[in-house]
Parts: sequence; structure tokens; C-alpha cells
Amino acid sequence: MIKIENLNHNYKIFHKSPGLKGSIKDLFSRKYEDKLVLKNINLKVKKGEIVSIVGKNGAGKTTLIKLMCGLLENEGNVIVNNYNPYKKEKKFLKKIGFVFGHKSQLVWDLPAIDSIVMQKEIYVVEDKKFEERIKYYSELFGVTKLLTIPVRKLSLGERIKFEIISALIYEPDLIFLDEPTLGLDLLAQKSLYKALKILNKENKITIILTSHNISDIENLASRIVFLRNKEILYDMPLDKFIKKFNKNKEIEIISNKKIISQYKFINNKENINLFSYENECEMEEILREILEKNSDITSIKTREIDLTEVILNLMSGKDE
Amino acid sequence: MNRVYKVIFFTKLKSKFIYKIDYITSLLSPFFKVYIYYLIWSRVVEGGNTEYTKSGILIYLIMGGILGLIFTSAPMVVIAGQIRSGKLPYIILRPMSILGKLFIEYIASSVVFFLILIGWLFINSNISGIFYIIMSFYLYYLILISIGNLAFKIIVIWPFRGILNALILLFGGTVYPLDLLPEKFYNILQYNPLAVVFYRNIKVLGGEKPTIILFFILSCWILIFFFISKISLKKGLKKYEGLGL
Repeated sequence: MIKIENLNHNYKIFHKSPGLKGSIKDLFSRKYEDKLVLKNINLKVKKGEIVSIVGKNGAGKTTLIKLMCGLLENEGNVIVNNYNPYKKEKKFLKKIGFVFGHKSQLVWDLPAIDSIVMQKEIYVVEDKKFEERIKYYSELFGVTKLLTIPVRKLSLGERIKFEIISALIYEPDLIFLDEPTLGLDLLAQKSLYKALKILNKENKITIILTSHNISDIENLASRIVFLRNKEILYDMPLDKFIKKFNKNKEIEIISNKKIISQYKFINNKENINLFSYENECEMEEILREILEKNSDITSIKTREIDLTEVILNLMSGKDE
Repeated sequence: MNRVYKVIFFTKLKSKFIYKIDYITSLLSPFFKVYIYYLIWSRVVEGGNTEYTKSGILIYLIMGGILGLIFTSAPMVVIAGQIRSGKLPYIILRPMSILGKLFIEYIASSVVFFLILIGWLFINSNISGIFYIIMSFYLYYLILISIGNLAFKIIVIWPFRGILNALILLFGGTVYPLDLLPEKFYNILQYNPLAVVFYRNIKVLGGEKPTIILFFILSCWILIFFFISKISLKKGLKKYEGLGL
């Protein structure tokens, strides 16, 4: 579906000279320089995968998406659906969809249904299929009654729901989602996850997702591509990614007396005792031993590092 | 000056200098307008023309005004706005022609007045005039797109709108008939693209039938601006970085 080989990408930027004098000077001479934003990117995405591209601001996520959907020119080393996306051939464009959460594709002054009907015509959707889909998606997102209200009168969340419907109405093979849950309430997020999962399962739709909402990644992604310093740092299935970084599992035991154990404490401040374990067996052994040797234990909790923490650590370079 | 206001003042001033071409053109455009008004009034004061009596001028200006309702600068504003706001991807990533979409939208925005004018020409049996006005509408659209594509390079193109308006006033003949100019100037200006769009259409609406030569010149301009708009769009898209996404 997607094949990227040895991709590098630069942006041209210029530095503004400081002060008013500098501004006047810049009117006549401006120094441009190349800024490398992606370095040696190699990526293969199979049909039906849901890939989440993760990284901090400026890591190159959006640039990578722009290259994949054809907004930016490449040197022929980006192939999507057997096309060079930059050539923007109609056959290619008909099979891709996109939602940029912070930019609207709906006509502002008209009801959302008008924009969705326009999509139907552009992407040539049969009348019967269109009727079925519009009914299904508007019910799924609970927006049936809002179809005929001008977009400008809708809340951000309601608008985003229609943005998504308008991208899904022609059921593309590949969809790019950039912050798709921006402004969506929890219920709507759940509906979106459900709809995308069904589409992914039934139609084998491929999804490329960028989002700062961890819930999007947890609920949708089957694979994570982590970008750092312009390069792909990790590219692996999401479950493996979590396992890889979830080694430091902890047991927290609160007791009024000093805890006796052959296992090493990682922390025992006041009456809180922390033990680390690597797998379920080890956890059971630690707990059995502590419960046998100690009384007056008031609480026991096990803790695992969650995806947010893993991503935060990777973004801030704490793993280095 | 209050410190805060001072900072606001200089920040705004600095931001004005960021878009250099825009700044220079916005400085120049008022001078164009002054020159045009000077030209019009000097001709009116001189007088002596038999074709353009007081009522003749009035009809001419009304026709010019009606044309202005149809030949708006919308496509230029739309394409520049889409580039600047970061919404262009929603046009270029759809399986349809960008130029086709903008043209259809342009027709839709002018269709009511356009049909009235065509009806008027039909009643007056000016069939060649109908073809002329349709073709010149397309030419003006191509001119606007060619200018709008500058937004790929200079982002803010509003000053160009002022310059275009000034050029239309000066060379398009919407506020004064070009044939009021001395013959030498008239011969040079009569077939410029803006005169072909505006001045000639006012004449057509006034009952004149376009000549073969005029159709030929109009077709040449269409061909020229067709390539300019295509090439500038292609170059612009190559440079486009998906600003704002």
C-alpha cells in the first residue's frame, strides 16, 4: 500500500534579522537556508494496517503525511497504492481520504449535507450506497438532526463529526487522519473508533493516524511509528511497543510496620514500599512471600507504566 | 509612548516588512488611482467629444458598473485565501481539476447578472456579442487565476487587488471610454487584455458587434493566459508546502 525508501526532505526557511533595521534590510536581501525535516525514512505499510505516527511537535509527522498524500514533492521514493502521490493522478486521489482536524472542508454557510452531497458527486458514489452510508454515519455519530443546519451554527465537535462523515462517505482505501478527535466528546470518540474499526475490518481500509490524543492511538493503532530527530526511532506493532517499554512494573504496598522481604525495594519511604517486577510470575512470587512474612498490610496496588508515560519519556529523550 | 503600545507599534511595523513585494505594491497602488482620476477629470474638463455627451457618458458608466457585477475578482481572492488559510489541500487532493472547480464557482457567483446580460444581447440580436461576453469572461477568469497564483510566492496578494482595480480603471476603460484618449494612446491600449474584457464588452452591450479581428485577439489572449495560469499553478504547487496544516 505504502512504500517509502531512503526519504530525506528539506524545507527552505529564512531567518528574520532582528529589529526594525533588520526588517528593512530583509526587504532587499534575504538569506534562505535548507532545514532538514526528515532523514533517511524507510517505511512500508500493508493494506489494512492502522499506523500511528507519533513524535513531538516538529518531529516531521505532518511532513511525512504531506509527502504520502501528495502535497509535497518527492524524488520518486514515495509510492502509495502504486502511484507517486505528487503526480496526483485522479485514480490515486479517488482512493484516498483525509481529515485535518483543525481545517474544515465543509462549506461554512451551508448545511453539512450540501458538502457531503458534493463529495458524493466528486467521488462518484452510487445513490443507494450514499443513502445507506449517510444514514449509518449520521446515526452512529448522533448528528441526523444536524444535517440541515448551516455549518457555522455547529459546535466544534459537531463539525468534526461531519468532517469525518464527509471523508468516509466514499469509503477510500487509505485515509489520513490528522488529529481526528479534536473537540470530540468521549462518546463521539468511541463512535469514531467503532466506525473506523468496522471499516478497517470489513473493507480493509488502511489508516494513517497522527494524534496527540493517546486514546486515539490506544484504540485504533495496530502499529506505531515513532519519529525523533527527523528519523524513525521505532517502528513496531503497538503491543510490542508497549511491552518493550513496560518493563518497570511496580507493586506498591502500604503497611504500618516495616516490610520484611528477600526482594529488593526500589523505594520504601515512610510506610509506602515499592517493588519492581518483570512478569506475572515474579509478581505472584513477591506477593506470596510478602503476605506470608508480613501482617498489618493496609493496601496492595500493582502499577504499569502507561502509553502516555512511554511516549513522554521517548519524546523527552529519557531513554537515551 | 506607553511601553506596551510601543512594542505593539514596532511589532506591527516589522510584520509589515515581512512580505516585501506586498509592502512595495501597497505603497505604489494609491499613485495609480490618483493618476487615473487626474486623467478622467482632465478629459471631462476639456470636453468637445460628440459621441460621449453627458447622457452618453452616463450610459457608458452604467454599463461599466453592470459589467463590474459580473466580472468580479472572486477567483483571485479565493485561490489566494485558500493558499493562505491552509485549506488548499482540500481542493488539490480531490479528484477534480482545481481550475475547473474555481471556474464553475465563478460562474455560479455571477450567473444571475450574466443571464440578464445574455438575455439583453439576445433581445438585441447580438449573437456574436453573446459569444464574445462568454469568451471574455473566461479570459478574465484566467487573468485572475494568474494573479492569484502569485500567492504561492508572496502569500499576501491584497495589494495586487488594488493594483488590478487601478489597471482596470486605467487600461480597461470601465470609468472612461478608451477612445477618449489621444489616438496614439488608444491604438496602443485598445487591444490590451483588460480593454478586451471591459472596454469592448461595454461597447458590445451598447450595441456594437465584435469583429473577427477582435475575436482573434481575444482568442490569443485566452491562449496566453491559459498557459500562464497553468504554468504558474504548476510552479506554485511545486513550491507549496501545505502552509498552515
